[in-house]
Amino acid sequence: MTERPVFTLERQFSAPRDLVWKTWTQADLFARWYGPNVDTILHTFDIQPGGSILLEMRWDGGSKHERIEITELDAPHQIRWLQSAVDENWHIAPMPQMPDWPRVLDTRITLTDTEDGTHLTLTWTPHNATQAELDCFRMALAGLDKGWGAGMEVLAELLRSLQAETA
Amino acid sequence: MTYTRGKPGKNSSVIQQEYCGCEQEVSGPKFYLLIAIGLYKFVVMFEPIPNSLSPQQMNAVFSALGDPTRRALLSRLAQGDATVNDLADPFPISQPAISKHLKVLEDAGLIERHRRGQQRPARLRPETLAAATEWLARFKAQWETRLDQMDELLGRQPDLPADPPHPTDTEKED
Repeated sequence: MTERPVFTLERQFSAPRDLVWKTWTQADLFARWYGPNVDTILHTFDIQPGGSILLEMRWDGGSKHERIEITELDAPHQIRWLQSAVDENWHIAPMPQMPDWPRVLDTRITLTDTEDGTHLTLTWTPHNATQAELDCFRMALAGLDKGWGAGMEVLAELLRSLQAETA
Repeated sequence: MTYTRGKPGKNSSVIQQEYCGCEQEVSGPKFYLLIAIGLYKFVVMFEPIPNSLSPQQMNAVFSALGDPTRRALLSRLAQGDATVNDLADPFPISQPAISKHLKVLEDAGLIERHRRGQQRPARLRPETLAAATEWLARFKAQWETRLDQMDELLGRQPDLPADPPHPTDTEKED
């Protein structure tokens, strides 16, 4: 068995943990940051295990729906939820542009106290994924990790060696 | 493209032309791009178990790319899947020799082969992972933006019980 691929994002906030927690669990605050430069409309916001968030991100000429199902809640420390891209009827739908992208991502949000604030760790891993979805996510992770920057270094090395060969 | 079989003496410049759409040896930016794509795929294939390529793996790629026939094969595959027959036709070398070259490329992770009926066409297929990487990069960027906004919001909440008052913040408005 290979391990499940996990994507991690970390961030330090100079705010107390209780407050950071509120930005995740209070609808008015959540809606103010969740849309990345777009409006967030919360159709449902029920933060408790078994509860869900149905949200719509809206921008000029487009919108995107997301369904979030809360699976674990441990205030003010951890939230775990299943996050899916859905159609406008809240049914899980594959991304047309990336059909093998995992339909459901198991998301974990962890907050820990630090000397000058709060440390936030976000992780995503495919949930009930097909082999194709796992492969897609794993490849994406590996590519992102290495980045094209690292790829270019390897390439430069390769080119030097090829030039040496033909010289 | 139709190739005539069994013409080992076929003019090699014609071959080059057909293979890379240019009249020189398979080289230049296009070739390097091709290497980049292939190498990138190779690097990705071995993830996430080891964090970098082992010297053996690196050697496999280098030696696979060191041969002009194999570079030409890669260039041809960049234009689409091809069977050993397709690939062998324009070359003044035998089909088994082409098969050997393909095996080297496959072992190095630069191509993959899938079964289609009786045949096993070779494929250079970087686009899926390139797209996947791009997708995750976008996903990441989206979340970075969200966290930026959260950071801003956290700094802007005046009614926070735990937010220490700023001595310089004298209220002169309203």
